Amino acid sequence: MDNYFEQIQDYLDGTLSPEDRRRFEEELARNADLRMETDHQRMLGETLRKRLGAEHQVSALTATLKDVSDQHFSRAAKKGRPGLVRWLIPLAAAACLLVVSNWLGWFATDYEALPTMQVSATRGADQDEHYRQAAEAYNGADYSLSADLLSDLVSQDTGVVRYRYYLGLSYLGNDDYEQALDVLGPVADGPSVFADDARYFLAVASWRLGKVDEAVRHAEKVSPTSDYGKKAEKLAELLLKDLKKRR
Amino acid sequence: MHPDQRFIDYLQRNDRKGIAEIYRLYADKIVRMIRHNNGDEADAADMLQEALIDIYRLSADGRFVLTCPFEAFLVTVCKRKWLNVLKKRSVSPVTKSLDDGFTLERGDEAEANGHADQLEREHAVMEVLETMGGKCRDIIKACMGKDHQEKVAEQLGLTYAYLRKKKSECMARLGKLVKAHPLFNREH
Repeated sequence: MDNYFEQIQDYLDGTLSPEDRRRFEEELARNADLRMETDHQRMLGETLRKRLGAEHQVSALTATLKDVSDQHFSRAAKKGRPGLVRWLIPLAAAACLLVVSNWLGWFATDYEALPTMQVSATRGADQDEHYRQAAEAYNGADYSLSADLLSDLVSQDTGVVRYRYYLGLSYLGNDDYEQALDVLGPVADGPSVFADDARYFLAVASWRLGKVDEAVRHAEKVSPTSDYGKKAEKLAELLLKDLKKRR
Repeated sequence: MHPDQRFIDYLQRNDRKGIAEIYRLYADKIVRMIRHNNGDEADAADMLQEALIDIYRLSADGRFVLTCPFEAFLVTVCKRKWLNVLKKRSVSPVTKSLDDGFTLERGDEAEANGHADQLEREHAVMEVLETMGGKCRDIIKACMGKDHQEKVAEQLGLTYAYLRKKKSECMARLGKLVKAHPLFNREH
């Protein structure tokens, strides 16, 4: 079956030539294992496309559900929920403990911690060498140098999202938040694998510039299942609390 | 298609009024069921919210057809989720009262279980994907977007041929891992 995997994907993606497609379908008709594997891969593809495509709406739906749920259950509580004080005492104790713990810095989250820049051979030899140097500078926290090197790479090839993403992060590491916003914005709006991470770092940059509303908006767009989903949620909560206090 | 398909549409459209109707009709019943089984109102609120998001994800491409009353489906999803929570908390569920407040027709129950099975299988696929190595996971996620794969290759800084090869390798690995998952394994 291993020999067929590339063909199965090409068949399902519709990229086989008419002749190869005809041959593959003849083989499908003959080979029950191949048929089963192709069906399995088709199911996987459909599930992944549906579920991944659904994620961008989940945060908006979650917000509505939370809102409706809070309203529904607070109304139910008003009808008379016994023993409220019974819950309040341990809750207050837990809240005090959390405040003290937070004051001691036990749960402090480093929202600006930047990810490691992976080094992998991708383009031509010159660009790879340039990229390797940029990664070395970035991973060594020399963000001025990594920003210069990545800026060169971006000007040579604007189509590579990876260059632009790490350039944005280099600006962020250098506390140059305006530049970070300019570079990360289009990455966050694009379809690449860096989009969710870029949204999170856009939230951080906006936050540092005092644009709290904007920061919340970016943080809420981060998919909950992405690498930065939990951190974004935490950041949004923190910022919303801050906004409430100000108002 | 069951007339209750409208509840699915409410979730797809994030229709606040429709969602409020779901809560008005079913939330108290879910609370009753959870309370009978070692939970409280807050647990019920969490279960209901998670169940509705799961149902949205299942129907997100607009192709899902509800074949039983929405109540039967929602109760089944909440019930399964709550049983999992109890298992994690190592509390024995009082299974005989899990159905309290609900009278499901046998046909409806079978249909609801069928939908819930599909939901759990899809959930398992996503769980397995998240356990895969970063590179494979990223390639699969990128390739499942709307962009043409030549564009995806460009965005990832890979050649188109290499991306196709890696994608088929990663999908083959995902396929094997999914087949080994208990929810898929039991079918064979």
